[in-house]
Amino acid sequence: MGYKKKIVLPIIAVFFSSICAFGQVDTTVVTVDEDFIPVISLSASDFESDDEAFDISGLLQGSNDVFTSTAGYTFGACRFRIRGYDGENTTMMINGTPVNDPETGKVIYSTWGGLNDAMRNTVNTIGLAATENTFGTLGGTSSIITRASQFSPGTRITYSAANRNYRHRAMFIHSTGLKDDAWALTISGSRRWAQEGYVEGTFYEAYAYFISLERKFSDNHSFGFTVFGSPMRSGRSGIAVQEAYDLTGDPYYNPNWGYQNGKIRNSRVNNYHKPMMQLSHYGTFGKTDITTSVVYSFGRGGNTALNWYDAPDPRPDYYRYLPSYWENDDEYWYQYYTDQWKNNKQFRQLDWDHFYFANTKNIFSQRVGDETITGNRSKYIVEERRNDHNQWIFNSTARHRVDDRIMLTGGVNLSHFKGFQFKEMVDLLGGDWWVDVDQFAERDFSDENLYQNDLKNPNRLIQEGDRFGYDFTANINHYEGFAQSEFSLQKVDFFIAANLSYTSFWRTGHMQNGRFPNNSYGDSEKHNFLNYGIKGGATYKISGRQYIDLNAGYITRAPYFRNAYISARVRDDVIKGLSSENIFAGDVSYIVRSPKVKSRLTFYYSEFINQTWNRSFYHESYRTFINYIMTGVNTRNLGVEFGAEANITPDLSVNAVGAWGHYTYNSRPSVTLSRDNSAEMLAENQTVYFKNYLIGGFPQAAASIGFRYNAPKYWFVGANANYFGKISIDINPDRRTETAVGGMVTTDEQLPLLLGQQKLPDGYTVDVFGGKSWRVGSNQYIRLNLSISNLLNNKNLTVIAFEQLRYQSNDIDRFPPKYAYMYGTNFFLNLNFSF
Amino acid sequence: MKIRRLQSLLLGLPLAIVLAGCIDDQFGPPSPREIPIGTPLTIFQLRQLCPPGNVHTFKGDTSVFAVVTMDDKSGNIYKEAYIGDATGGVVVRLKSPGGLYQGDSMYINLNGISIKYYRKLFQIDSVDVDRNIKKISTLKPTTPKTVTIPELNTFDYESQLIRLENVQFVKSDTSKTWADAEHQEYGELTLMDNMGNAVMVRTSGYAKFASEKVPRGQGSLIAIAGRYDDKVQLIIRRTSEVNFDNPWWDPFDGLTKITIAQLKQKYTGGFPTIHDPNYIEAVVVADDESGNYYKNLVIQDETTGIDLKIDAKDLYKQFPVGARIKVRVKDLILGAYGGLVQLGGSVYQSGGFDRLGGIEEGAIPAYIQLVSLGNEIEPTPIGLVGINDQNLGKLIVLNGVQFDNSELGKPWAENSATTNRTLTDCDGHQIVVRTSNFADFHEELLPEGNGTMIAILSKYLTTYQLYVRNLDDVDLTGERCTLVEPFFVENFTSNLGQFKEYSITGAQKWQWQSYDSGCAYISGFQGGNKENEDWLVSPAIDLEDKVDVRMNIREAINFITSYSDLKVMVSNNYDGVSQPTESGTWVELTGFNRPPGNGWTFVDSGNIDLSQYDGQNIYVAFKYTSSTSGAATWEVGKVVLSGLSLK
Repeated sequence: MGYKKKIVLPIIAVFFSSICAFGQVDTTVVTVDEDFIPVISLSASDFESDDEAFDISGLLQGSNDVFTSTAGYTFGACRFRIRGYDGENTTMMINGTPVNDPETGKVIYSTWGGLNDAMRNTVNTIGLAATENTFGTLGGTSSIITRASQFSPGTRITYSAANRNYRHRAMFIHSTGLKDDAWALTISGSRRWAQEGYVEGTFYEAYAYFISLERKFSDNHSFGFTVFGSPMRSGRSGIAVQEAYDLTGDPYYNPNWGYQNGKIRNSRVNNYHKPMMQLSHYGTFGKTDITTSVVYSFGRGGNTALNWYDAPDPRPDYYRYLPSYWENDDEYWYQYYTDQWKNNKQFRQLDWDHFYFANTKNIFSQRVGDETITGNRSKYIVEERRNDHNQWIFNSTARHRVDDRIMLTGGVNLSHFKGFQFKEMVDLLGGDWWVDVDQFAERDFSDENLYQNDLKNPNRLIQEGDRFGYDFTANINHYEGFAQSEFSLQKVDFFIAANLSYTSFWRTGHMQNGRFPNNSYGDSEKHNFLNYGIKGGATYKISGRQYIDLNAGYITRAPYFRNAYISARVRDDVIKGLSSENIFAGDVSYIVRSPKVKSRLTFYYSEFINQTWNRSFYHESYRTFINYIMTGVNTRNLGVEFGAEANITPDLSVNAVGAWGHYTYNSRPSVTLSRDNSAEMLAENQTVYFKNYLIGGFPQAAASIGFRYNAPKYWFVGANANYFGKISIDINPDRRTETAVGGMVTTDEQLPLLLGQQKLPDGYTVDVFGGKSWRVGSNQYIRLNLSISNLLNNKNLTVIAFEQLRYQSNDIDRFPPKYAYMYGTNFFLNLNFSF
Repeated sequence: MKIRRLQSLLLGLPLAIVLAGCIDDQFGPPSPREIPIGTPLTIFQLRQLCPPGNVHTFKGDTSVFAVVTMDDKSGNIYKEAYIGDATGGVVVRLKSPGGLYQGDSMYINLNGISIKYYRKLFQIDSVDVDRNIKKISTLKPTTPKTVTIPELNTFDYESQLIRLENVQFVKSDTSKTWADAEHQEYGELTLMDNMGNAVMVRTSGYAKFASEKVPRGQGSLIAIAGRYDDKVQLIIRRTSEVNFDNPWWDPFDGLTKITIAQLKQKYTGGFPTIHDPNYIEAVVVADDESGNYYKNLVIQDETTGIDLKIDAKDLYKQFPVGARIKVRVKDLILGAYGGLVQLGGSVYQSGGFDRLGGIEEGAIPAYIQLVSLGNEIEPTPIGLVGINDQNLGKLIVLNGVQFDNSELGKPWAENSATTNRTLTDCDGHQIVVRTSNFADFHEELLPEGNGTMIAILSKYLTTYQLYVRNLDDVDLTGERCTLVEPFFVENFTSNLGQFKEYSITGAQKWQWQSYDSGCAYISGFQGGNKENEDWLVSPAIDLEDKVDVRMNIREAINFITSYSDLKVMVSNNYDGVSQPTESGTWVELTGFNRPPGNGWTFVDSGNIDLSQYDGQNIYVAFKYTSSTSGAATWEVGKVVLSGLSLK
């Protein structure tokens, strides 16, 4: 199978992996936050939740494919995506058990954040290549090996300093190795923290733990148990409009924080802890290896946000508080807001003291049932939008070697997942309670029942720790089996694989919503999907050092729960014509592997057919909060990627990688707009003229050249120069409809503003790194590494760029695009001691 | 050992850092703040501080204590709350919506805040609920004051919570919703009492109940007495405070319908109040939108039209052209102005004379009901010759008319006064076009072409007048006709004038009589029918430079036996001095309009075509014959020859 898979053991390249580790945790933390109504955390874009980082970066850091590893950590800073694929197109495994999030299909890296030492051993495959443990998907797989017996004995403690999301990291790992040919134990833990990270107002507080125990009974039987988790809390940075960056002179201006009693407090705090435990049996039965695992994971996820009732929008960057809102309209207020934004820091941040002040004097009498209760009704609160879960997975795979030429693989995977989504009251900010009603419905309807969030508890007074707003369970059961045959001939290796899966999901509502009393409480209808995938590939060995590799696959994929429901928070209705997505992909590579040069050149082509896109936002024309559901979204990703590494001397190596992709929308999707507050359909079957627009928000082209010099005296130094380009803005589909351009003549000067797709500037960065190690005793080392990223302090590269979904077709600048920029010069210093 | 120490140092260092590097994320509540009270003022004192039209901005701590009487939760008001104390009520304009609730007892610190008037409504401006207001308690009830509509109209209850009893919506509004929720536009509905007093209920299109139908019936209502300039606007808080449980009172109950013609027949002079239980149903053909009519509608039914005087402005907003209305005439008053019969509601004195006044504005709902809109009436086509009193008050259309040469270059009306302009047809018939100097088009220059004009026919004393509704009704853009001008006119004012009489046989002769302001007269009756032949002959009439010559005569005939006894003749070769029976070839003119022959009414002939004589010299003669078996009386009031002049 050649280059495709290789276990990267901890023994090799300690230096290398230390450097690689930088990439894993340090992607720019940003969040997409549409500036509309606060209660619903749905976003314009799929990089919504900074913490559950969906980036490719961490996944492939350990790959020995030069392109993949560079893309993993160098390009990660700019949110480069390999082949333009989203997170659901790669499969992440722990000891061969897939652990992608069933609700979204994405990989949630934060689950093992801070466990860099413990999670270092990975098996990676690229693209559609054959995999040992699963059918996978089109973006490759990565399996973390946590078997205690696979860790070499020893201890390492590490302290790191950085100026990124966190400023300090302390980490240790201890492995016993296999003792007495029976027991092996590895434990690891870490803490990462910062009172304030790179962005103002962000704090970071994360711990991590890891225990892996293995009992070997014989050469043929071994049991392993792993448990790990990574509790973390962090204050998020925000994404603002360019105007706010210009006014503050800060491209990292963060509207999420403000002063409380003179102390910086962030309103948007991530709080995750989702431990995972796995019991595995590794068995060998003659020529057959069978790995069987039971995984249980559970835990809490959440991010907080302000909410408010009968009060002005407290967010400082609300569009009416920006000078542009007044420009050419009222000179006085324009000047006033400009001055305040530029010169008054308190003005452009949250005013926590005021929230308390307002809450503690808002005496209110609320009727609850037959009682009337008088107290201070909070006007401003901090709520947490929770996303908890539990999941059982049973996974078993067998590999049977028929002979030298044929390897058969098969497996089953059963997963029962329950996602718990609800809101919890975190802080009443000095008030006595909050009333559990939907304030937007309250505005629209006279009937009190209609604006209840929970008809079974009308007008409930919410205390800190109470659930409110919405509360439902996403039940997702997934059963899958796969089979694969790999053949090794003298000139050709080839394989074929197929899978069959059955997915069933339904919603269980725990609140009876006033707008949807008959389809919000209890179990919804079950939605079942039968899916399959087939793939195959061949490697033609031109010589021992040159290969031609070819893969192709066709996959159908059940819709994800997140996309399936019109408004899962409040009702059972799924989108019309809910159906599976179809994916076709293929690639062809030319590979050179010689002692001095390793290189790969790949062309790839893939089509995603019948995707669903589902967002909620405030619509200017309908003047209401809507659910915007786009079906029949087809995209096409094609491109070329290249990577080469050459050892010029034993000490000096150079590398060059490049990627050029062309990722476009390839259909005219159909859109349904429904009112969030009622079952009313506002529009059906509108056409979005999306075809040939570029998929925006991330670079479609990137390149890097670099060198690394390993000095004989145990020090090394290296540098990379990187290029990012072909970045365009993530577009708002609603601006590309007949309704949006309705009323404009073809010569209207506003038409190109409405329809055009903004190109964002290309950019260059330079990274340098170096290190030295000292041997201080027998088998005892001290190592010091320093990495400096973006040495030239380029702050013009956008890592996030999207058009707001809320827009006004005759005044596009009212709700301008939002951007986030790559961090300027930043560093990571690593000191460790191993023995 | 050394290594061990190093180990423990290296192990211990990060541990120490871990423990030391605490993240400070605990936040205590900020210290409480109070909103100062300073000097307390009542709402009455606020009004005293700021007389109508003024603005007063507070410096220093001053507070007003009050109870919220209406909040914005219903959506009927936005960024506003009404508050009241024992001395009155006032509206508070809020910087952001929400936060104040009905029944909140609170004080507003007024430091930095302005009190002022918007459209005469007194208000406290730009109040920040969070920063300016301290609530003391909740659910404090305010008892509405029970008032009458006339009391409301004194504005003594501005911004206060009031209650009206025995009121109902006017009929045209009873089928409406509170407002236009779909387009989010205000609903303005009229509430009336049994006296016909009316007041507006104004509801926002954003009100939650905007799309609900208003109750049909009569009863009580609680509302805030809002104000916009000199109008009271009631704002309701919730529909449950509108209890119209009693049946709707129909002011038209028990009335029978009559036509306008029948109504006019009731008029015998003076200013009688109509006591008959009648109503009329008609369509508005002219309103006051352009300003040419003021406090006056013209309505028309299938019989005729009439001026309806109403003592209110902007009538077109309620009763635009095309509105079909029912007017209760019982208890209204008929009057006349310059002989024109009008319908009104009161009598007043002006310059020592009684005059007819309009229906009082407040009483409109009791007398006028809107039936439907959009019933445009086709104007009646009419010629200037055919105008008569039957058409008074009707919308008419005139074709082929133009303003008289003497009027060209002038505006419709002078700035200083209502102005008469002369309109003519191509035959030279004339009529007055009367335009108010308040008409919005009065400064426009008169159109100079020939064409069509739609107008209301009116009359002052004996002069017919036209009132134009607006310039859309006037299409005088065609080529002007050159006027056919009279060049021979005989009115027989005091004698037979230019005519000569020839008595061929019999004793009776053509003679002058005073009828029709003077006429030529002949009758063969003298104690019995006598035999006669008598000619009345014109002088030579020179048609040398004339084209398109026509003759108009005006005659009356009685006791006729045969029209052949009363011949109108023309000759182009009569010598002018001989007996007409002895000289010239006489040709009889026929085919024109003649009187029926049995009465004394003078009738215009219309054009009698003489164009075959263009360029010649002619004589016109009236040849009368009678016998013992029959002798008619023939009176000729006017002989006019006209035509285009070549010169």
